Amino acid sequence: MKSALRILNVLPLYGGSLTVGRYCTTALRQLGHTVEVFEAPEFHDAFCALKNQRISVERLSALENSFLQIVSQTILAKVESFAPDLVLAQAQAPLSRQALQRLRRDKVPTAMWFVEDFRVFPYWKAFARHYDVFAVIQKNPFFDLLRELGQENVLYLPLAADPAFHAPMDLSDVDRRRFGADVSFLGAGYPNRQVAFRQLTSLDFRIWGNDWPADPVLTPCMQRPGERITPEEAVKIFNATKVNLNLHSSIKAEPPVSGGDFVNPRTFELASCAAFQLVDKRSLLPGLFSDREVAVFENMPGMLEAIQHYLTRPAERRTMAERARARVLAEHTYVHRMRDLLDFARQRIGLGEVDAGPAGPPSPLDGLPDDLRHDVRELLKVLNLPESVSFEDLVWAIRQRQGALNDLETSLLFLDEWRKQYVRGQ
Amino acid sequence: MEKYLIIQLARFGDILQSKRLISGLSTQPPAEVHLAVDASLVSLAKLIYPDTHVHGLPVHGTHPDPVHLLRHCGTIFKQWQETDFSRVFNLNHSGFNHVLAGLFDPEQVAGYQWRKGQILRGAWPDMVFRLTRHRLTNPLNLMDYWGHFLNPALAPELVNPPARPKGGGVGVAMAGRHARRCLPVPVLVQILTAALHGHPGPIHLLGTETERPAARQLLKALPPVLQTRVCDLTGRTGWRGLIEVVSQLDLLLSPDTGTMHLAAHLGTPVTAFFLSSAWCFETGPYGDGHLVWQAARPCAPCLESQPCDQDTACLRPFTHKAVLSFLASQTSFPDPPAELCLLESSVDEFGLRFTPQLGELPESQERDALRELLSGHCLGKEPRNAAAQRAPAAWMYDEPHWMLEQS
Repeated sequence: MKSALRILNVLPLYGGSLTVGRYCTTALRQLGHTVEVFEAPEFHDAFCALKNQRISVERLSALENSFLQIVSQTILAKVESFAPDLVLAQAQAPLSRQALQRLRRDKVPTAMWFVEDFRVFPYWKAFARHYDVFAVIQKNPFFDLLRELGQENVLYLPLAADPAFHAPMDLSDVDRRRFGADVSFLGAGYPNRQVAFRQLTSLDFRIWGNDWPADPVLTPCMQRPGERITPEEAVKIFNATKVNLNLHSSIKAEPPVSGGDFVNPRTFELASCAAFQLVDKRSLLPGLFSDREVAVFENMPGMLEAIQHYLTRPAERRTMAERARARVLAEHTYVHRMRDLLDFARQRIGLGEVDAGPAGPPSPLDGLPDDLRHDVRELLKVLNLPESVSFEDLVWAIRQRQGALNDLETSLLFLDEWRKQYVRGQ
Repeated sequence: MEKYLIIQLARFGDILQSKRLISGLSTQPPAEVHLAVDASLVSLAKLIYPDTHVHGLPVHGTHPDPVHLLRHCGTIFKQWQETDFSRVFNLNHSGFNHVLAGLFDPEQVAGYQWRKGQILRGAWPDMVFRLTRHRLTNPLNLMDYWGHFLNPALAPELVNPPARPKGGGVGVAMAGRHARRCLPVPVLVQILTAALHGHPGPIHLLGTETERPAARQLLKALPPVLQTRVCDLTGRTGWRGLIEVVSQLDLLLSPDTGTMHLAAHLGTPVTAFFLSSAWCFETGPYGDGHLVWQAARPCAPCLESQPCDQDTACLRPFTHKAVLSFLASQTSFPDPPAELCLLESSVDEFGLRFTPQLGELPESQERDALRELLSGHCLGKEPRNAAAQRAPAAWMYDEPHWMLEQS
């Protein structure tokens, strides 16, 4: 059995990869690892405030750099306290190069899950080699480019879904009316989508999401324009819609169906909800879903034809959607991704190879009489920890609790202090 | 009835130095005061503070098995949570104190607080922590530090009775916990020989079992005329016995020890010898009329945890003939040794102060200015001389104090 790891998950300040980061935390905990989260979004408002000062750009730039250095230093302090086996980061995580170099010097392994399009977000060129493992959602030529820059530990790690959250739902009539439509799209208003969706205005078609420029043609379809849609609402929209359109973004308006490579998170989330989707062709899609699970179109005529076809075939939609959900459960959850990432890191950089002895670390239940054993076992359940968790990881999990602690939690922390003072020093 | 909990997990002396706070709470009727201490100090705490509820936790030197610890602590912690404490005073900067803070809402706790697993230091301890970065100018006694967790703090003159001889002879505290702070036997022999010249009564050697060999060595080395008067009580008194003896003394001779604080608590006069890391302004005997010989080398006060590269040079002036002469006659001497100062204790409305009687200490102006600042800070007084507080204020008050609300 692989030993449980202590993982510090460094979330980005904001953005799409922030959500992915939160799913990673959940998945790693489900895998039995002890996860500490660096909540970078808590720093975001202060960072944004710098931009409102009407100061010279030079000063602003210097201040932003200083601010991010402070954030990086905070992460290093957390590493010092938590002593993780791995620091995991998602794209745009606020780890400076200096901080990454320090972690490497201190032999703290780092991994980045770069869940961005490398062509659109080119900053990886300056940062990729500073991570020990670099997981990406695209293959070649990205792999080769990374190797040219000195990053040898590259892993293809497509996006995924959290099936407990992205799940089929029985919606109330009110929610069905509020969120439902024949055809829906949820996402940002990229140029290719603006062009493509002008052809759908005669349908019962709803557009959700932000960053849509004012467009009189699309205005009747826009729902709550400019408003952010929460992940919970997204799941309701997916479940309430007959045909969920999933058109990958492109910064170019033409062609509207861009034919790129990576597969976006919405593909997995729709599938995990057992919501029927019509998705544009992507070169990496066949490795993830078959055309028996998701309906694929290659161009605009194909999209229009498919909409008409599936709108009138509810049974076909349901069958495909159920198969898609099964595929997610079998292969495309964040638990799968995190397991793959850690396996790769074990294999490439020897992650977690400290020998805990043949029986693993001692369990906090060892040597306890029945009543205390029962109490600690209940606490482990509340903390979502396996009975095989080490005492140190249990202590860390207790330290993460919100609000005042109870008598047992405090007693265990007190015991930890006592051990630090009298046992470990011996 | 208001209920308070004080968590004081340090040593013998610290329990006594928490008296201004504990007594301050106890004299706010109707109040129920709970005190958490190391398990080995429960009986002492009960004797010193008979009206408080004392809880013993296994912190120092005791090695209970984990199951016993979990059960014992669990029972106490449950009881604490069921008691509706209006305020918890969490006094020590230690891992034990930090986790105990987790039992309570941060708003309930003065001192070291716990917020979502992060330890936070309150505004007052944070300020005092800053003081200790430059100990030479630190004017704040530990008793006053903890005492001013209360606002208003108990009046200093109500903490300990003024020093007054009791007729029971002289006590000698053989050692403290920190070896370098104590006078070695050969030095002690010279000091006792001089100091006991004018005291005809019995001489009580006080200490634990650990100090018995040193007591025997001392006894052998003393002049025969003194030997006959010695009563070696090392390792032979429990807390009650120690209190009984110390309460009857005319004088206690001591390095910086818990016994010294016990004497001050009982109003027994103290002549203390502070060297190495001991600094009388921080931990000197509390109350009116005690004397302290304070080593004043440029390296003092040092850090006990760091080795001394001066061959404990601060010890040498204690056997200077002028010092021995003063100890024998209690009169001034013409040529006091440099690097040693005799100070006398007194209290004012802020707390304990030491006034030089012989010799001088470096940076006394800075220390006085800091004390004035602290006094104004705690008592809300207008400064008598604002210009004199400019430098200490710049040092003590940082941007976060100025910009952020202080809890």
